[in-house]
Parts: sequence; C-alpha cells; structure tokens
Amino acid sequence: MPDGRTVAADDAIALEIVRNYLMRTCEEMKAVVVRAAYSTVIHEVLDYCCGIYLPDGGAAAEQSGIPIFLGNVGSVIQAANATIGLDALEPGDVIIANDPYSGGSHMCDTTTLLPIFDRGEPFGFVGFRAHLLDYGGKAPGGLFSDTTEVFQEGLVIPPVKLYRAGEPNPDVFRLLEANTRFPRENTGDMRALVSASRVGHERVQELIARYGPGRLRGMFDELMDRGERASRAAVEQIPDGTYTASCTHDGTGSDDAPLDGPYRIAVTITVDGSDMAVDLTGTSEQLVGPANCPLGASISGIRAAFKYIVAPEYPTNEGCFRPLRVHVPEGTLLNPRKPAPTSMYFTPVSSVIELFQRALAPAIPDRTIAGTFGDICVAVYFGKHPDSQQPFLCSEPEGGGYGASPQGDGESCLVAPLNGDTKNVPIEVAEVKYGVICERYELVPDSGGPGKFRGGLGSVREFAVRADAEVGVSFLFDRQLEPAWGLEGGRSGGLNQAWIDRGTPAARRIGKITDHTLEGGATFAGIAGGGGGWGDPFERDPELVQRDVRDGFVTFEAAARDYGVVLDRDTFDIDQDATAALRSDRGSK
Amino acid sequence: MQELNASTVRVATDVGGTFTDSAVLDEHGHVSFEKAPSTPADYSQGIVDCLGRHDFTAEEISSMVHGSTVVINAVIQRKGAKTAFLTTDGFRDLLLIQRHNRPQIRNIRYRKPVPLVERALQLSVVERMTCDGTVLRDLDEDGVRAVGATLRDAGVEAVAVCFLHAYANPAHEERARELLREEHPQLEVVLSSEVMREYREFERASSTVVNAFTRPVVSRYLDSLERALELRGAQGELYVMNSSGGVMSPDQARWNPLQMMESGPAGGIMGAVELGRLIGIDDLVAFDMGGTTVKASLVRGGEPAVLREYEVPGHHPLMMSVLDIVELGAGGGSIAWVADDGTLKVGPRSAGSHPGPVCYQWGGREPTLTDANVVLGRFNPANFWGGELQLDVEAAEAAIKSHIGDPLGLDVTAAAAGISEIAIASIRTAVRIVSVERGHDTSDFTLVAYGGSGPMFASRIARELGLRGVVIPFAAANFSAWGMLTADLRYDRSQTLVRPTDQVDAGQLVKQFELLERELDALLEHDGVPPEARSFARQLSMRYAGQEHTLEVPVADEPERGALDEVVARFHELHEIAFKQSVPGEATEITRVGVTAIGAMAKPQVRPLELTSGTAADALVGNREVLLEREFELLPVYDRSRLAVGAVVEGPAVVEEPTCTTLLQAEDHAVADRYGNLLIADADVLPALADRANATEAAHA
Repeated sequence: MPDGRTVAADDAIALEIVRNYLMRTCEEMKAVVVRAAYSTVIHEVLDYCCGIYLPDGGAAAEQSGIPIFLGNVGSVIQAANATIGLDALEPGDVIIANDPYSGGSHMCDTTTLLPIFDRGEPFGFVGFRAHLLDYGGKAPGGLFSDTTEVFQEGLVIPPVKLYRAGEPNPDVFRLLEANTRFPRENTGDMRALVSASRVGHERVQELIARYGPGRLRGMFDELMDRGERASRAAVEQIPDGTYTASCTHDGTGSDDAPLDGPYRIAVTITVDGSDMAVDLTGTSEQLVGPANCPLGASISGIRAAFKYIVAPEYPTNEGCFRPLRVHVPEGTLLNPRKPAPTSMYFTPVSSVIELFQRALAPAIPDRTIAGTFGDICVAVYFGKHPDSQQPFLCSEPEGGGYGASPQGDGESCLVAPLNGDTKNVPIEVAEVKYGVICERYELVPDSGGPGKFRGGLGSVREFAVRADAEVGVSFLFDRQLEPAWGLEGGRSGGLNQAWIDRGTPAARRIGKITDHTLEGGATFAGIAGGGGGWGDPFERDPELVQRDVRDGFVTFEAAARDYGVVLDRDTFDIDQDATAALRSDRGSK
Repeated sequence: MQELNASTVRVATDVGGTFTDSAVLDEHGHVSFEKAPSTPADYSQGIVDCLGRHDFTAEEISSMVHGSTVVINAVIQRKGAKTAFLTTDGFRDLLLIQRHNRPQIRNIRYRKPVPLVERALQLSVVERMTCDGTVLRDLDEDGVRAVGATLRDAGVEAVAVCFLHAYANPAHEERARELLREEHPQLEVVLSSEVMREYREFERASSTVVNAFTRPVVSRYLDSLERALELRGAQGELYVMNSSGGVMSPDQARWNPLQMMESGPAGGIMGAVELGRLIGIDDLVAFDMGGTTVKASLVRGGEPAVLREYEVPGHHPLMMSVLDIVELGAGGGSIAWVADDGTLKVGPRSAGSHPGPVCYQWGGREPTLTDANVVLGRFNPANFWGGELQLDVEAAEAAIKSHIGDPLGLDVTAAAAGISEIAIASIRTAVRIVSVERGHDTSDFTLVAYGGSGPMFASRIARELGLRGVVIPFAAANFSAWGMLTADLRYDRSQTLVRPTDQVDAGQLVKQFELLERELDALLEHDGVPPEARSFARQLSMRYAGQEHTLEVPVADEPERGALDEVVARFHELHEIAFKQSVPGEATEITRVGVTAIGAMAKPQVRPLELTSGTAADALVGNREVLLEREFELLPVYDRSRLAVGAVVEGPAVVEEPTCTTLLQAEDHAVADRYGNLLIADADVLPALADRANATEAAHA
C-alpha cells in the first residue's frame, strides 16, 4: 500500500475537480488533432495518445484513441531526458521523436513533447503521440513486411528540438520535409500536434495558477495512489496462481521471399494477492523481418492487456500500473536489439492482449472472451487519383469477429482489440478520395467459431482498380495460419485471408506483400476472420441455430455439420428427429 | 411578417417525459405558463389538459408551436413502424458492420447498437452508381419487385432505401420507390437522397432508417394532435419545433421526423437569441440547468452554433442539422455519491421529480444537489415554489451526513459544499466546451442562465470563466417554452460536392445554391410565408486538401471568383479560431454546399415595464445565513418581483422568486431592466449592459 500520504479533507473535492479537468484537457487536445488532422490514421483510426506527464515520464493523466498506446509517451520522455536532458530545455521548446529505440514503436508513430515549467523549474511535459503518414523508407506509408533493418523503414528521428523557445527550428523542418513523400500532410499533422500540446500546456498553467505547483503536484501523487488502489482491488479479485498461454504468428517477408517462418508469443502471468507479474519468456528470438516490437511498445501492450482486465473504467495514470511487474527477455522479438526492423510491431504485441484473455479465462470466465481474429489485418493502398492525379495513401485495419463467452455470442466485424474507436473509411468517401471501386463489404457466413455461444463473424471488403488507374498495395495480414481459438469445447473461427483477383482464374491468395502494383481492372480483397466459440456447439439451443441460419450468419450445411441441427430449406423449421439423431450420434462417439 | 390577430393568443407546448409545459402569449403581450402531467397513451390529451388550465378558449389560438420528445422516445424505446432496409448488392450488412469501431475502447465485450430493422428485412438489389452519379450497373427492376412482394407479405409498413452514391444521382432510388409501391401500395418508402444528399453511406442509411421507423409514429401523433385541436375549435396554424432552432410545418415534420429529435432544448436557445436581440446582446452562452442535466450552447453574432451530425445517445449516428448543445449529467436532482476509490461524484443518476431530492419528502433517500443547496441556505425552505412545497432541511442534512460526510470524514457543511463544488465544475466544463474549447474569448460573451437551477450558479460561473456578465431572464424557469414562441421557420438543405477550391466553377456553385434555394422557397411558399419574409443563408463545407473534417464557412450571395477568395480567407480565419493554426496559401477543398432558409415569424411583443423610482431596499425581505463558496455569511434576501426597474442590488446577496433563486457574489451588482430581466456584472460594466437593454425598444416597434 502507499505510504499513507493523504490530501487534506477539502482537497478531496479539489482532487475530483482536478482529475476531471485533466481528463477534459486530454479530450480537448484530442479534438484539436483529430479534427485538424490530414492522416486517415489519425482522424479515423485514432492512432494517437496524449497526456500530462511528470518530469520522469510518469503519466498524471493519459488518454489514448487505441488501447495499445498506453504509457508509450513516458518511454520517449525517458529517452529525451537521457539525451537532451531536462537542464537543456527551456519554455516553448517542442521535442519530436520517432526512433523505435528511443521509446517509440514503428517509424510513423511520432511523439511531440512540450516541457512545462513553473518559475524556471521543470514541472512536467505535455505529450502527444500519433501516427503520421510517411517518413520515407522503401514504400509509401511506413508499413512493410520485408525490411531487415530499421534504417530501411524511414528516417530515424531521435529526440530533437522541433521548436526552440517557441520558434520553429527550420533546419529540422527542412530535414523532415525532405524525407517524406507527403510533406504537406506530415507537416500539417505535426502542426496539429503542436497546437494541441500548447492547449494542454495552457490548461496545466491554469491549474498551477489556481492551486500552486506544490499542491498540484501533491494532487497528482494522490491521483496515482488512488489509481494504484483501484488496480490492486481489481487484481485481488483474480484467484492467486500462475497462468500461461501462447500463440503462433505466420512470419515475415513476402510471399516470394520469406524472411521468417512462424514465431511464438508466450505469456506467463502470476497473480499473488494484489500483485501481478508478467513474464514473456518463451517468446521467439528477434526476427530478421519487421515483426519486432521495441521494449517500450511491448510494455505499453502489456499495460493495455492489463487494463482490459483490471479496472478498465478507471481513468489511466501511472499509479494504475504499480501492481504490475514485467519481464521481457532481451533479444526476443518483444525486446529486440537495434537495428532490428519494427514496422509490423503491432502484429506480435496485439497477441499480448489476446493471451491475457486466453490465460486468465479459466480463472475469470465472466470477464474474458474466446479468441478474436487476432491481427489488425492492415492493408495499404496508394497511387494517384485517376481524375485529379493527386497522390493518395490509405492504410486501414479490417474488422473481424470477437470471441464468445459463457454470457453470449461474440460481436461481429469490430476492429482488433489493440484498436479502439477506430472507424472505417466510408465506401463513398474512399471512392471519391482514392478513385477505387468497392465491389463488396459484407459479413462472412460460417466464419464465427461454432460453440454453445458462437464467435462473431468476420468481414470481406473488396476493391477494384479503375480501368484508367494503377494502384500499389501492401498486405500485412497475419494469423492466416492459426485461427481464433475457442474455449471450453468451442471451436475456431474462420481464418484471416488476403486475395488478389479473388474468384477469377487469376486468383492469388496473399500471405504478405509490400508495394505490389495492380493494373486497371484488378481486385484486392481483405478478409478478417471470425471469433472463437465458447462451449460445445452441439449444446447450442437449436432455436439460436435456426435464427442464425435465417439471418444468413450460418449456412444449412454448417448448421448440420457444426451444430447437429437440421432445418427445412424452405421453411427454416427445425427437423426435430433428424436433429436429435445427429446430436445423439455425435454424443455416442 | 405574418401579422398577429389582435384578439388571439399564441401558444407554445412542450411535451416531456413527465410533464407537458405551455406558454401562452395573449393579445396584451402578457405571457402565462402552465404545466400538466404528460399522457403517453395519447399525448394530445395532456396538451389539451395543459391548455385548459389557461384562461382562454381554443378558438382564440392563432398559432401553436409544439415541441415533443416523441421521436427520440420512439427510437430509444424501439417503438416504431415495422421497417425494412434496401441497399446496393454487396453491401447488405451495412447496418450490422456500422463503422466497425469499438467506442468503449477497453470493453472487450462491447456490443454494437442493434439496428431498428430486423436482419431478415435488411435486403439488397443489384444496381450501382459511381461517385459522380454515372450508372455503373443498371437497377435490377425485377429484383426490386420481388423485394416489394416480400415486404408486402411480411406486413412491412415502411422501407428505408439507401443506394451507394444516391446523393449524386437519385434515379435508382426514385425508380425503386415506384416499383416497390406497385407491389405494395401502402408501403411508406423513404429515400436516402431525400433525407440527406450527402456522402458517408452508414450515417445516411442510419438517418434514412430512423426516418422510416418514426415517420408513421409522427404522422399518427400529429394527426391526433391536429384532430384534438380541431375538435375544440382551434383554427390557428400548428408549427413543430425543430432541432436546428426553427419551427417547421407539420408536413415537414411528418416528412423528416429526425428534425424533431432535440426540439425541447432548441426552444430555450432560440429564446436566448431573441432575448439577446431585445436587450442588445449578440454574443452569449445559453446555459440551462434543470433537474437532470446542464446544457450549454454558444450564440455568436446573434446566430446559434449548428452542427451537422447527431447521435441518439447510445444509438445510431444521424445526419441532421442540430444546435450545438453540450449536455452533462448535473442538475438539481443529480445524486451525490462516493465512489469506490473515495472520490465524491455528482450524477449522472438523477432523482428526477420522483422520488426527487430528500428535502422534498417524496421518498427520495439519496442526497442531491438540491439537498446540498438547501443545507447551504441557498434555497428558502419556506418559499420553495412560492411556498407550495415545505422543504425538510434536517432530512437533507441527515442524508448528506450519512451518504457523503461520514464516508469522507467531512462535516455536513463541508460535504454539502463539496457536492456543490463538483456540480459547479461540471457546469464550468459545459460552458468551457462551447466557448474556450471552440476557440472563443469568453470576455466577449454574456451568460444567459435559465431553468430551475441555472440562476443559482450563473454569476459564479461567469466570474470564474471571465464572461462579461449574466442575464437571468424573466420567467427563467419556464424560459424554453417562451423561447418556442420566438422561433422562425427554418429549413436546411445541402448537397455533397467535392472539388479543389481553385478548380471550382463559380457559375456551377451558384447554380447549386440556386437549386437548393428553389426547393426551400417552395417550402416557405407552401407554408404561406410572404416573399419579403423569406431569406436564405449559404454555406460551404471546406477543409485543407487532404484533411478529412470540414468547417462550415458562410458565403455571400454571389460566389464569383473574387468572392470565392474571400470565402477562402474566411476559412483560414475559422481554422485559426477552431484549431489555433491556419496555413494561408495552402490548397483548400469544398465538400458540400448548403443553404438555410428562414421564414420570419412575428415575435412576441414584450411590453416594457413602467420605470419607477424604487430602490433595492424596497425589495429587501429579510436576511439569512448562506454559504456561497467557503463559509456561511448573513446575506440580504430580495424579492425579485418587488425589484424596481433600475434599482441596483449589491452582492453578496440572494434574489428570490417562486421558481428559482439567484445568488450574487461579493463583487456583483445586479439591476432589473425594463423587461424584467435581471442583469448581473461588475459595477463598472453593469451600466453599459443596462443602458443597452433599456435602449433597444426599437427592436419590436
């Protein structure tokens, strides 16, 4: 427990007001960036995180559009302190960094830091992290499956000053603009990050003026203590014990030239009272290809996985994670050594969230689910709009099925757990902006893992290249080999898939591909798989199976094969005798 | 303007979940207010009951403006027409996929909102338009007929048709309607291209579905209301309050029920706009605090901020014009509680009017903000609702002690003050969001505070956020109903049109504007608005090339090339205000043209009060111990109804009226203007406020 430091009685009220003010400040900062942003990855995918931090990087308040970014800014602050140093900062400075090995994740993820001073003394930082479009590298968009060094992935920016004492540092701006294919978009988004950070800075100054720096700092400490208490109370609800889980990813490289074969992510969680220790020993050695996740980002992933289970509603600050101890062996793909490439860092780290669910499901079945489709399933397409000749780039995740639980079926077509309030680009917007034609965007029948409770359905989205156009595509779909797992007798969901010219004689199933050119008339399709089922599908209420068939979520064949339910093809009526026969036949085996 | 018949009354009625409110303006310019229980089985009964409490007959009604929660209730309770959905083949699952987002980002068991259309009635047919409105695939007419037969056999009442890019070319939707009607003549067919000609297929589909789902409900509702009024001999025109702050004809409400979604709150904001006009205040924040929530809205240059998207709480997004209202869960009935981690919270749960706050003695056991205010001496327990309700101070104290004070180790006073401070922080947030966070300088704005709890906190909020001053309107507790009497007819139309600004053909743009204006003009013509009372305001949605989100930029009548440069300059300015950055010289894009049509209606004549020579002392009715912020102090109490025009009250003080109480802070000076509004500001600012308020009688000559 904390050292018993408490705030005075009337501070209990001020504390709530300050907490709400900090959360609102994060909201306000987010609104500026999301609404002014150029990059779809910011304004639709919400690939951002922002917060108010102590000088050492601890978050007093933090908010992210996607869960995976939690705590990532703090590692960049630590890196900046180690290189630039607090003493070398002055009011109005803005630090920028994207170096995966200075607390970052992959090259596009850009952090800006704005130091806060009180009468010359460092008080903390306003931090913002967001995914910018492009820093050069071998193909547009910074998403590659086949790099072998971080240097191939774009311009590495260690913490440097983008602004000095409020004035732009033109040398750095010129350097950055010379190293991107989308200078207008990148610079516009950087401006948005700085504007938002200045808003955050103003708000913290208002708080300092109102409460004084000492009292405010005391309240930050108290908020963290309360965050710790909330987490500890929640960890105590989990039965003591050691829980393990693992899963396998497909590999890296491209279909023609693979770099790595299947690799493994392993998680061991030990719960002891209100403490939780997480050990990723058993995870594969670092890879040749880019599915490596730098340590800072791995810790963020572990924090996200923890927060899904431990007091998820409680506002995030550094204290929430004090009960968590983490061990990630150096040299594994979740703690790689420079210059291992990291473009696909999100693929392995997303599994950490999933494996927390898988490991803890037996202990806390009412708070966990069976496997999801397991990868963000990102496709990138880029080119020139055939009408305006404007260059464009779209990188978007697909929505797949979530796992079932003892409380019900899984949800269909949602972004992966490492994403959050991430919206798709509307078809009508995509067609205007990128000059492509969408052929279909639908749920995939039978993709939900059968179970007493069924997994959610995946989706298929297929685009055609206009006859007068040419489009480059990169597909980074993983988990095409290991499907979403079921629990307690529930079965697997349908697999993730990527296709070129699906359903034609030239059809080609894609594992991974980077910067592949498609001519006019070609199609490309992403299929996100379904979620895993929960419990024996032969125990599913036949009327639920009937409803699924009527709704088109399960086919007649699958109803009989996977659920042992026989339906009349015209009336959808349940054939009771045939169903009883099928179900008892299986039961007697 | 439409003339008022001198021997008639104008009526506003607002049907809420619990009560139906009315405001009646008689031929002498007097306004009266009544309240009656709402009658969900047939809401028209409650309206008739409520009007029956006033002193006039139905024959005397010259016009009635009506606001209602019927549409939002139909959606939330899922009680609407049996509705089907028809879209382009390949996209049948649009209503299930939605935007594939997980708004509760750490809820791994998140469930999407369930569509209003059952899965078996979500259907598709072969057809396809491209984004410029070219036919890519012909409409499968036999397929549509088959759908029509299916819907007929399934007993479907309404169908929402939303084809991709129908905003660019509605031909397939229109043909589908003919074919569907051939098979199923009773079917209500709602086309997305009629509801909203803008891109973003899910939001347009969702809007079309809600329209179809509620259209029969609204038709029945308005039929029954019109019949009830007619039966009683009412001859006047009926208007329906819409979410964008205007009124519309019942026909338009039947055609696009979405616009009724937020009709209640819109009344208060338009009242603040009209009041501002009356007393010479163009820049204001309308602040409404009732039993359950606090609402704030910004009015700049006499124009309320309007948004173009809306979400039924926890349900689907809609494309519609709606006043920018920020609403937070803190009102007089909001319940105070201590969270697991030992922090004090107020709301969002509310005791409402039943069981109500503990001090009402109607069975409420959990302490509310109103209980805290009673304990802090802010309400007069003997003069609440004009003495109709005797408040139980001890019961309020006991509840605050046991629920809040004891768990937090605070005495009753500190606990009650804490509840008040938390609520004030919520109000501050709501007012800040619409002003500071939208890039405005609060010192340019005046707070107009109404609702049962608004006046109590207004001056404190204005001081903390640096607003110029406060207006507590006459009839502050019934202000929303009064506001409905002041609204003009308002219709909005728009069209998606995505172009780089430097490639826009100004002639084409003018043509688009004129097309929309012709449609809108026909509506006003139909409503009997004379040509001189019609006006049109043009807007463009713009952004920097490459951005996604847009800003609404007002446009003068003729966007010739040169004028377009002014529009672009205006866009840079607005971007600077909203996002604290702009890039003059950077390429911009247009995404939408829009027009708002206004049909000016006669405004209620507010009769100025007689100027008298009374002083504040004449209105002094006593003293009591009140805690404003830190400690109890003995404050003078004034009766607002006895306050002479021009008499200055110096804070700290309490100004009471039967339905609400105003608190003045230490530096406040307050004065009643000649319309009975209470103006509050610093001593050096107040005279200017009062002079303007008293000088603007020309507004209604």
